[in-house]
Amino acid sequence: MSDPNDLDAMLETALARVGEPLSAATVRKALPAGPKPSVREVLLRLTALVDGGRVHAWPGKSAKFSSVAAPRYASDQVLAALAQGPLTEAEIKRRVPAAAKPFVKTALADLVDARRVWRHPKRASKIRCALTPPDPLDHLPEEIDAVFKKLAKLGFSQEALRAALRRYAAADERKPATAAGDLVPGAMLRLNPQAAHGALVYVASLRAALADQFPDKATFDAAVMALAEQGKVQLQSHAWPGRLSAEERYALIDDGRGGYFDAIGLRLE
Amino acid sequence: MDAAAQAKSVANPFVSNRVDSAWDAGPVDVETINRTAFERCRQTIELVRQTAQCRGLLLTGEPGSGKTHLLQRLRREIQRLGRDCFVYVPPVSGPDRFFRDLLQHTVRDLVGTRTGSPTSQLQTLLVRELLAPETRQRVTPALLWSDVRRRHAPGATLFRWLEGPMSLLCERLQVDPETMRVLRHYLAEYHRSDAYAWLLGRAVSDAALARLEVGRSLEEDADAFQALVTLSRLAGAHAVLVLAFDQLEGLQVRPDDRDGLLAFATGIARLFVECRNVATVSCVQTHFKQDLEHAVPPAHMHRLAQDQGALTLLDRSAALELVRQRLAAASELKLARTALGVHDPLWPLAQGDIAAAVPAGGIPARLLLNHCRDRFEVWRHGSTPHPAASTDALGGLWEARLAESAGEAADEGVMADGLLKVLDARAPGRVKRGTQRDIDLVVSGPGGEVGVAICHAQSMTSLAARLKRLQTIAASGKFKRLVVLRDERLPVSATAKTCRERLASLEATGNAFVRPSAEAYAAIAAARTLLAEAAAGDLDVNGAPVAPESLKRWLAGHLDATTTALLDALDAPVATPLDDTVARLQEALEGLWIVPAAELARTLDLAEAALLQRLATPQRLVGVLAGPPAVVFLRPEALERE
Repeated sequence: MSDPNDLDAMLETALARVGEPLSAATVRKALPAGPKPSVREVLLRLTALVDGGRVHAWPGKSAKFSSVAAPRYASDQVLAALAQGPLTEAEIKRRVPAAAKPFVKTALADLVDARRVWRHPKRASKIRCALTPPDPLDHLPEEIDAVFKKLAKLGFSQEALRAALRRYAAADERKPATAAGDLVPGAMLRLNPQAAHGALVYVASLRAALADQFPDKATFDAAVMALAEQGKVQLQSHAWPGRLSAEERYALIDDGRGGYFDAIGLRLE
Repeated sequence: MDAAAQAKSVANPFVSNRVDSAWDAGPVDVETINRTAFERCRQTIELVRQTAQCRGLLLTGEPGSGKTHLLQRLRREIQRLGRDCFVYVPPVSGPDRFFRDLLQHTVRDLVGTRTGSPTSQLQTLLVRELLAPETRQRVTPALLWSDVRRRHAPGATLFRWLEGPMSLLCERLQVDPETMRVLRHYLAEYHRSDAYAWLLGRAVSDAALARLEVGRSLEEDADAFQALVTLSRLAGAHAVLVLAFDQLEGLQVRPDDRDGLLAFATGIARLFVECRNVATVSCVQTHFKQDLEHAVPPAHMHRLAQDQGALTLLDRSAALELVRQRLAAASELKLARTALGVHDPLWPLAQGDIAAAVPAGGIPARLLLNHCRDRFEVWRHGSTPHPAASTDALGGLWEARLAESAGEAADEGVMADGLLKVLDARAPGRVKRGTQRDIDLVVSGPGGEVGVAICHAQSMTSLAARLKRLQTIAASGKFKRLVVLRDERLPVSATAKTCRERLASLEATGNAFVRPSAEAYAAIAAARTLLAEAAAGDLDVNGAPVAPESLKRWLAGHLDATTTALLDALDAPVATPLDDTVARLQEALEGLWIVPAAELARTLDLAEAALLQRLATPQRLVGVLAGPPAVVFLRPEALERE
């Protein structure tokens, strides 16, 4: 074992094979059968590999080494645990290897920030984490059940309440302005952050940005006009509509006075 | 006469529907309208102060939404606080005159006494720089200047007294000493008119330069830039110099013209590098921001529009408030309301009618005022007055602008920009800005290109130097001919022998020297103003905006004979070569190759001096050996042609 390069390669292979953080003595044991370097020699080589960025030293009371960094190892273990379903933080800790336990809290926070893991709303006094965003449908039945119980006390039958709920849901789907109330200002701010200070956004750019949400011209135009009626936005007309081509005019909104709205701004006063 | 009848005789409170300049006294200001955009202006100014870095704010708005009105409010606020300086800049005249134009507006607003203040902004700035902070609290600028003038008589005495404090300032602020010297002349009222003309970047006479004891004028854009930087530094470390640019659309000759916009943005970027305390507020129509983005590199655009805001169209409640305040300002109506026992502050108009005039999305203030103006007329006369035909109404505006321009001094920039726009209106696409020094416009025709040079220099030394450069350009053959324009009000001094010789030489070689009349100048300047207003959507007739295209058509049929003759002189097709001297020389030299100048002059029926003068600038085919005796020879290029 005189060639340090061979030893380095064997140490890295051993760490990668085991996959968990190991002390220098344990790594030595994991080396292939035959003559082995001393623990001190293994420790020196591992330290050199850490300096070279090829092996990661793990924080803790005793020096441990791994082929992966502690946060990455912990993240992988957390994701593996959550692959089986939503879990609380305590449940995750119980399911990951001991070496990952100290890093679960940090790994979870990073994964939530990166939108790879979602914390679901508290239910039955527990907050669970999952690999998918919370589905409101999971929460609706018990809330609706509570509302139904309350309304039943006022004399409404279950059937009447269910029919009303169906009517309510159908009516809600026909209200594009409600969606526009959130979508349009959000898209305006994405197109020009200074829209928050009243700066205008071109209608054609906004239409393009919201093409997925409002695939046809009429729906988009109606949604914007509804926001204008509600006093949430102002609409400014192009000064010289005669200069616009048919294609350009189509991308704007008819102002009903022979002109076209070409810019929209949040109404702040 | 009863109260109602008396009320009907008052002036219509809605007639005034526009503000032409931020310095106008202006009608009632409803401060709740466009509060957001106004706050944005204040934020930008404060950021300049806090960071000691220049910033640009771009304000967009539909025509008639109150852009100039907002600048007027900003000007009043700055004057009220007395902390910063305000300069209003209508469209500048051309890419190569950006700093000269900007200097002119800056000097007018900073050095001249303006509405709303007994002292000029410059005097206020100097007081702030010269006085200790504790004294500043007790002494107003007006008081200090009146005391100084009492103790040191205006003229040479005050000029001498100001030397000490202003030299100190010059050193401390690292500013241009010549600009400071001329400012001292102005403040001391010592050769004041010379000083003012110099500061405005006008062409000043040699005698005036001598009286001011300065070696140069500010006619060159680079010198004007240095003077601007000096004025900005004078504003001091804590005052912000607010440059408010209005009607930027007027920088374009046509909607696809980008040169003026690019020059504007480049000029601003350069100013931002040299200064620490400039805030620009640029007002444009909403759609025009896209033109700016296309014409200007992103880095410049970022500076111009580092902050952005917009004018807000009036919603129903803002519209009602504006109408209420306009009516409240008419005291006769107030008396009539009391006499008639009417409690509705909107009387004689109706709330429902006003609210109905406001569509979803809002209404520009000007449209609302036009609506109310008509309703007011219906109330007192039973019907709206029969509107004047739009051509007659345009004629009225034209006469008004002509009258304003008639008294103005001949400005090279205004003439060049005006001619560019008026010629383009006559023959679209045939005229462009000159890209080489000394050539203001280039007019192309079937016979070739005509270079137009506007020479208004009052200093005969400057004029002679420019004419020499024009001789070189003429001889280069780049243009079919040159047209030198000089306003007829500006004489060429009888003793300016060199100028006269050079002009004669230019004319002798087929170029033209044209003296436009004061009337032609006024017409060109008036047309320029109207075209800028139309481009910015600020020109309306009977409540409807006049498109630049319509105005151009109207102008084509309404310019007087003098102005039309001037335009003809510039863009008439050049059918035949006008300078045949060199061709005749070649002919005379044929087979001889080298001939004494005196002999050749006799052959061509020219004076020897005139011939040598004609050949003083390098020729491609013919050369001169100075002698004596001087000889003329054919160059090898001419031999090869043979």
